[in-house]
Amino acid sequence: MIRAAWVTLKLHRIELIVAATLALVTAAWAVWVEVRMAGVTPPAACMDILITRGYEALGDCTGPVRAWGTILVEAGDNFRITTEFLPFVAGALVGVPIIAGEIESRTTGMAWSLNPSRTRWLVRQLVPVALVAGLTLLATGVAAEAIEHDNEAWSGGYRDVINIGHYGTGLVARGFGVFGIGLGIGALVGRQLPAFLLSVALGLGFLTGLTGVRDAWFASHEAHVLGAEYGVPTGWVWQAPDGAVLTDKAATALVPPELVAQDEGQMQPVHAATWLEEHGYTQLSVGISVDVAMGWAPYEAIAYVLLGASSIGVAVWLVNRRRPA
Amino acid sequence: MGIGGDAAAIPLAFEHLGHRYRRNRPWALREVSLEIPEGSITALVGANGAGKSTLIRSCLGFERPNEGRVLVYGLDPRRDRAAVVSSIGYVPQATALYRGLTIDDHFAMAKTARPAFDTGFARAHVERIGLATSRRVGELSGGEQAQVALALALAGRSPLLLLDEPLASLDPLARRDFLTALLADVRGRGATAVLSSHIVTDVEQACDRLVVLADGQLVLSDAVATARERYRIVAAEALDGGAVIGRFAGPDGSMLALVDGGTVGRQATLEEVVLGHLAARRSAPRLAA
Repeated sequence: MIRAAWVTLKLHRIELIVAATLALVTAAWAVWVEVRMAGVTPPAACMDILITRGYEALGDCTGPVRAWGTILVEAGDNFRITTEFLPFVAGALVGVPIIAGEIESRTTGMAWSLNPSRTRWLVRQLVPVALVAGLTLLATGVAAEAIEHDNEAWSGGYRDVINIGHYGTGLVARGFGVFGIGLGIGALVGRQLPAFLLSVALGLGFLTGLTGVRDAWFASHEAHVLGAEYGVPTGWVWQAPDGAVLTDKAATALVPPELVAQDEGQMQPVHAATWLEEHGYTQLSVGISVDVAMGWAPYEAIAYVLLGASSIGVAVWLVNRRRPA
Repeated sequence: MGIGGDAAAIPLAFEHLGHRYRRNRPWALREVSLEIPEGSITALVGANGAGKSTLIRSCLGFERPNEGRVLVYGLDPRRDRAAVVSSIGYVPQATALYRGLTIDDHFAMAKTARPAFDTGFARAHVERIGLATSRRVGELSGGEQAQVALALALAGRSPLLLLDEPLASLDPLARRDFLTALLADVRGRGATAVLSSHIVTDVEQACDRLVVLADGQLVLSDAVATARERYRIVAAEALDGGAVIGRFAGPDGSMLALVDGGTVGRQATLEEVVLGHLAARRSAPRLAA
C-alpha cells in the first residue's frame, strides 16, 4: 500500500511539487516575518497597553511597538492576498490532474482495466495527493495563524473577519473544497488547463456566494450601536438632536421627498444624509461584536469541506460512468 | 445465435449487439451475435473502423451497447463490472502506459489493483526480452512498451485476455516476440484470448478461431482449420455458378472468387477467406444511420 501511494505521488509529482512549493514558500515568508518581529518584540507591558488602551495611549512604548508593527505592515496586503488565493490555486493544481490528466494522456483504458473498482482506483489516487497537499497547506495555515495573531495585537486585540479562511484550518478547508472541485471538473471536462481555470473560477465564485451568506448571517444577529467599540458593521442608524435613535428608514422619512428622489439609483443617499446632518442628526454605525462575527469561521470551513466532499462524490459518479479513451 | 448451456462457462457471448457512438451516426456494431469458446485463441479481423475495438471495449464495460448485450462468463460488464474486469487481462489499442513511471512502478500499481497480480511473472517476462524493470516507460520503444503492456495483462492471471491491435505498431521481430510470449502463456494456462488485427497474416499462426467484422457486422465466425478446409479460390472467369462468397483482385491483378465448398480451384489461404468475405460485405448495402 505504501509502495502504491509512493507511485501515485510520483505520478503526480510535478503538480505536487509546484503546489507544495507555493504553500511552503508562503509558510517560510510568514516564518521570516515572525523571526524579524521576534527580534524587536516590545516589552509585554507595551503590548498590554496596545491591546487594552490602543495605539494612541502607547506613550514611550510608541517607538518599540512601531518598529515591531512596521514589519507586520510591510508584509501586510501582499501576504493577505497570497493566503487568500493560495488554497484556490494549490487545490485546483493538485485536484484537476488526478482524473483529467489520465483522460488527457489516454491512460484510463489501462488504469480502469487493471482496477476492478474505479471508485477504489480514484480513492487510491486522491488520498496520497490530498494528504501531501493538505499537510503543506496546514504548514502554511499554522504559519499564517501566527501572523494573524500579531495582526490581532496590532489591531488592538481584534481579529478581522475579512481574514477568515486565510489562516489555520480554514485555509486547509478552502484548499480541500477547491481540490474537490478540481477533481469533479477534471472528470467532467477531461482537459487539464480548462478544468484548472474553471475550478479556480468556481472556487472564487463559491467564496463570493459564501460572503453573501456570511453577511446575511451577520445581519441575523442583533445589532447594537458600535460607538468606539471595534466591531463588524451591519448597517447604521440616526441619532436625533434629542438623543432618540431612529432607523435609517425612519430618518429618511423626515427628509423632503425631492431630496430623497435625487438619491434614487445612487450607491449612497448623499442628499438625504446631508440634510439629516444639517438638521442635527448624527449617523451611527450598528453591527455585531467581533467575537460574534468570528463565530462564522467554523461555518465557512464546514461549507468548504462539504463542497469538497460533494464534488468528490460527483467525481466518483462521473468516473464510474465515463468512457475511457 | 443465442447462449446455450451454462452461460457462466462461456468466456464471451454477444447477443444481437448493437452500438453507435452518437444518434444519427452510423452503427459501429449491429446485430453481432457470437460466442467465444473456452480455451480458444480468436483472431478478430476487420478493416480499420470495422468495430473491433468497440467489440472488445464493450466486454470491459467501456462501451454501453445500444442494442443487445455482452456477457462475460455469464455476467453483464455494466452491471457486474468489478467481477468482469477482474476476469479480463486487457491490452489497449494504443499502449497507454505512464511515461514518467518505471516498469516496476507499473507492476506495483497493478499489484495494488489486483492482489493476484504475479509480479515475479511480470518481471521475468520483461527481463526475458532484455528490459530492466527500473527503466522509465518513456524511454522504451513501441515494441518494448507493448511487451510491458502484455506483461501487465498476462501477470493478472486472468482467464480471459483481450488484446486490441497489439501488433499494429511493432516491427516484424517484435511481433514474433509478442506472439510467442502470448501463446506460451495462454496455451500453458488454458486461458481464452481474443486478438484483434486488421492484418490477418499477423495472427493466423497464433489463432485457432477466426472472426471477421466488416462495417460493424459479423461476416464470419469459424474455426481456422474449418475455414481453411471449407473455402476454395477460383479464377473469377472460370466460374460457372456455385456458391460465390466474394470476388477480389489477386496479387497479379487477376480477379479471384472465394467459393464455399466444392472441389474446383485450390484451397483458400486464411487471408483469402477474409478478403472474400470483406469483398462480399463491400458489395452489400452499408449500415444506415
